[in-house]
Amino acid sequence: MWRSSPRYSDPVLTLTDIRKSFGGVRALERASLEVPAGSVTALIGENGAGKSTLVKILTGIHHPDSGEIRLDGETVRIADPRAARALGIGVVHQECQVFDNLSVAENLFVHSHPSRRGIVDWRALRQHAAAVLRDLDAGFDADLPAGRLSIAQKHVVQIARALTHESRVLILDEPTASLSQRECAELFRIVRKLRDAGRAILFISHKFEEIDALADRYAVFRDGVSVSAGALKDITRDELIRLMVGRPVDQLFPKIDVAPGRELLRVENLGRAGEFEDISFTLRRGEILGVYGLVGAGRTELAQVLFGVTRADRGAVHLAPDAVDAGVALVPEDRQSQGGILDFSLAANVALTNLARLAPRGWYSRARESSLAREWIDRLAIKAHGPAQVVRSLSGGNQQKVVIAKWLARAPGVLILDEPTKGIDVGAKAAVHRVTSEFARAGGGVIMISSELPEILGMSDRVLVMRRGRLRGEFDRASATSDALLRAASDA
Amino acid sequence: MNWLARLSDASRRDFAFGALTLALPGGGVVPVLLISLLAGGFLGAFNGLLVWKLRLPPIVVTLGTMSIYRGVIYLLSRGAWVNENEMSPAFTAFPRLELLGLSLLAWLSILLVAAFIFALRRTRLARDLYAAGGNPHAAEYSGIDAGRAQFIAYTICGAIAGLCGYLWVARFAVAYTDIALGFELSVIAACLIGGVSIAGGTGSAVGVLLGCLFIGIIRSALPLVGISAFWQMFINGAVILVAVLLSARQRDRQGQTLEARA
Amino acid sequence: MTPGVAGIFARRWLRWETMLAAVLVAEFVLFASISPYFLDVYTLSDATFNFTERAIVALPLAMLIIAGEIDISVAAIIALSSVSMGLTASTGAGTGTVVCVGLGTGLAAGMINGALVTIGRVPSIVATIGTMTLFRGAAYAVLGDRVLKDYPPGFAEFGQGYLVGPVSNELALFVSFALLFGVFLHYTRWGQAIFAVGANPVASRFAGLAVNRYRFALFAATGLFSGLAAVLLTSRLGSTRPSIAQGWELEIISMVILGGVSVWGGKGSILGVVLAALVFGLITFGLGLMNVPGIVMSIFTGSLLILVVAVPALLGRLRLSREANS
Repeated sequence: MWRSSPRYSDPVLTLTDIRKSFGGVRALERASLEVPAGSVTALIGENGAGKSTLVKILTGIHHPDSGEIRLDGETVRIADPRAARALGIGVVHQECQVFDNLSVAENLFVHSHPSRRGIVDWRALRQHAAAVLRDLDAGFDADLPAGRLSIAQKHVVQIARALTHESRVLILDEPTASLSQRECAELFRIVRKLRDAGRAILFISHKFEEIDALADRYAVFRDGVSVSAGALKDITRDELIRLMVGRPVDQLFPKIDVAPGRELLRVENLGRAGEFEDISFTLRRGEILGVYGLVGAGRTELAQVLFGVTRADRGAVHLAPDAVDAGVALVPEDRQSQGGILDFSLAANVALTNLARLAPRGWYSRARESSLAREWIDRLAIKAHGPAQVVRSLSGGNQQKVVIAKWLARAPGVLILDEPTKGIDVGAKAAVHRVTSEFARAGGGVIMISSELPEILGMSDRVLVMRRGRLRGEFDRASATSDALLRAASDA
Repeated sequence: MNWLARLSDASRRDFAFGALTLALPGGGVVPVLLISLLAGGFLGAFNGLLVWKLRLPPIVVTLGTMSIYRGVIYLLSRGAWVNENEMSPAFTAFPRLELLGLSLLAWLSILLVAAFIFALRRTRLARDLYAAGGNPHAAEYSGIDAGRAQFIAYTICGAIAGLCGYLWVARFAVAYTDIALGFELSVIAACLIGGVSIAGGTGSAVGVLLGCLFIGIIRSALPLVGISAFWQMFINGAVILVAVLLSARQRDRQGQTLEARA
Repeated sequence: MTPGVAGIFARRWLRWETMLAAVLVAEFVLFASISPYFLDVYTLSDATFNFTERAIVALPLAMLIIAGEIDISVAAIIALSSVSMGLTASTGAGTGTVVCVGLGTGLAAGMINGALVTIGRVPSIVATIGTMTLFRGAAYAVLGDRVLKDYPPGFAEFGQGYLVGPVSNELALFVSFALLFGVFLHYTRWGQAIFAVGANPVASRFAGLAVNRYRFALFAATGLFSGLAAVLLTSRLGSTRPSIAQGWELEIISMVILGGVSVWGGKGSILGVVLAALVFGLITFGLGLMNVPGIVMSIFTGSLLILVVAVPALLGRLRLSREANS
């Protein structure tokens, strides 16, 4: 379906001085970017730097207020997603944009069914789909319903979709956020293959390991402005971080060493059908217990049972008698849909877990609500106009702080964090880590689920590794190395 | 969103309206057919426009237009009944014409079912509807104009409902304000039994046909086993509930297996 | 007045309520100028019968819609309650028993809806389309084309009696429940939780709220108050047919939506619903004065329902396009 095109030395895609604001809030200001053919350009920036707005402009979902987009030297206007596709701009979105109810083959052509006068030619569609999947060495069948694929395979479906219409520019918007190490490697192999075929690739990621592994060039955005661009080999990681944040980050993992106290939580032979089996461990006061594993290893499911949104089929969870009242708190992985109520004010969100305390006899007072919120805005350094600001209008990092605040305000015994820094910027990351450490120092127990090795290694006193719903190893701080954890977590 | 259920939603309002506008002129059959299709299509298009352009919740729109359209019928007819002697013989005879041993009514149904089996599988429009129903967000990102496709679906529903209006009136040779009252519930029941998911994205014409047959068989079996016709509505309700409970079960199971795999 | 929602929203909905109040005043002026008898206390008292029964159901339904669910079966519950009261009364039972049966039937029906949504995990629109058919169907199945009218002597008091002077029992009940619901929804933590459940049920569950318990309780309450409405309506009419309260679900839902409650859940106020009920009741009364038949009223109700949701959507689009142009 797609042919190799010759390498270009000139940039395929050039953006100059793009501006875009939403109702007075500036998202992009003097944003410029060059994406040359035959190379991978990494787009780096904190959350709120304008990366996603840029992607949406390039895919025709938003339109720039001013500025110029040039493709092969010609000025273009991207009116809608169809126009973007016609221009040869393909995108793999962060969230899965796959239709579970349709077959893989139809997913590839969902926007452009091969057809004559509106009548779909299924035979041609299947043949084309099979050809594209073969080219990508995808290990699954085109006739499968897409709902049966793994998340990584769905990402491959999205790449394949971008290839069905001869994209010369391929945008990958944080495609690895929920992929395992092995799946990432597979994805990278495909991306390199496309790069070598002469396509221009724009790669958006928060993970420097991946940027090092995949990208040739970089472009840094900060507060909607492009601050620097060049070849990746000419710049160090520290410099990149400094460009991104605009200030040096003192310490990304401010781990405070605490001597663990009495036992707080004991889990015995816990199991839930189809999710996890035979899980036993203990958690002590002042301890941060890291839980490492690939996505789908059963970590989130375990956290939900410990928190109580789902029930275990087997086994038992014992909470120390003095911690039963304080209880277990869970900061869920998906902060937009599970963590906070985006249309509510910051104050109402923080109050939500503390209704019984704020209104012991049932009478709810707005004044108490906002004084509680003010206290936590200060303690977590949440950047907001005040307690009444709607959470949707906060940046991702500050939204996460609100979700953490709402649980800390309740002073839980055990705090479970599920991917606490996923998709948030470096500054907010450090703040979340600092708060976590302080909570542990005050005598709380923390269970921190994460797929990011540096975070697990930097923060945990002890690390549990899960694979396919079972515990595959327990490491103390000394024996936990990236190598050991990776080996325990993967099927090797 | 469930496009097929909307299909059914749309049917009844237009249905009665179409019926009445048509019963009044006594001309040839072809203009009557055209007018019924057009009138129904127009009313369906109005619903579709509200849902498409203003993104209003379909349930609110169709509840609202349901009562508006009924009220308008009353205004137009002044609550009068139109009886057989006011209709032309050709008007009432048309659906009963026999062709190869089957009535024209039966032939029309067969034709429509065949057309829908083909259309749902092979037209871009239908595939867009399946995609938009399965994952509305992704549909928007891939540039599928879901609203426009739904608008067309509403219009088609309306047109077919209008056609049904004519057939109903011609068959029973009477038209009045409360004609086909509660018919939308039978249609929705048939869709749900036929495996159309209320959450959208799944369903087939053959399934809906089987659903209709099921409801039809119950309807004609009731008097035979000596149960009063007043039980029909109750049975419809029970059937809808059983169908939606089963489909909710199925969705839960699928959800679990998917989560386990992910 | 909308707790938990930021200032902008609060101001916006307060404006909505001000608008409703203005419409109300306009109606008063209009009808008073048309008919010299309109401003008479007893005429006004008569006018309240046009909405009190429906408005009593609108109160819990507003909370249910704020909590992100809907109940289309309310009118069918009224019919079923009325039929069960009629059957009880025909066995010679006293007023107390008849009322208890009416309320109990409503509560049971509401609990069935709640169970379908919480335990059966059926979306509430579909579940209540089903139970609407089932309950109304049961009323028809039991009664056929009969009419029940053998109610005990004291029974008429509920729907026809007056508490003091021109204040009818129905009006007194409505006002007390409106106050009760308003305080509950806007000034207690349970009310706050209802807003949260409607705005984001998943996040509410992850915040430790018993989401399904709230949903179930609200469905049960809506059923119970439909039962109460059935008692009042049956008492006022003195007879029961299976077609009683036909089409009321539309009018009750319209009242709630007109009151500024968001069809998407999470926003709304009891004050708005009360004002909407008054606006609605007065219009019905006024059109009644002008001899407009009931079915034509349905054109008005339907248009009102669509207008109320369409106008904000239209304004939103206009604002968007103006921003895009500037």
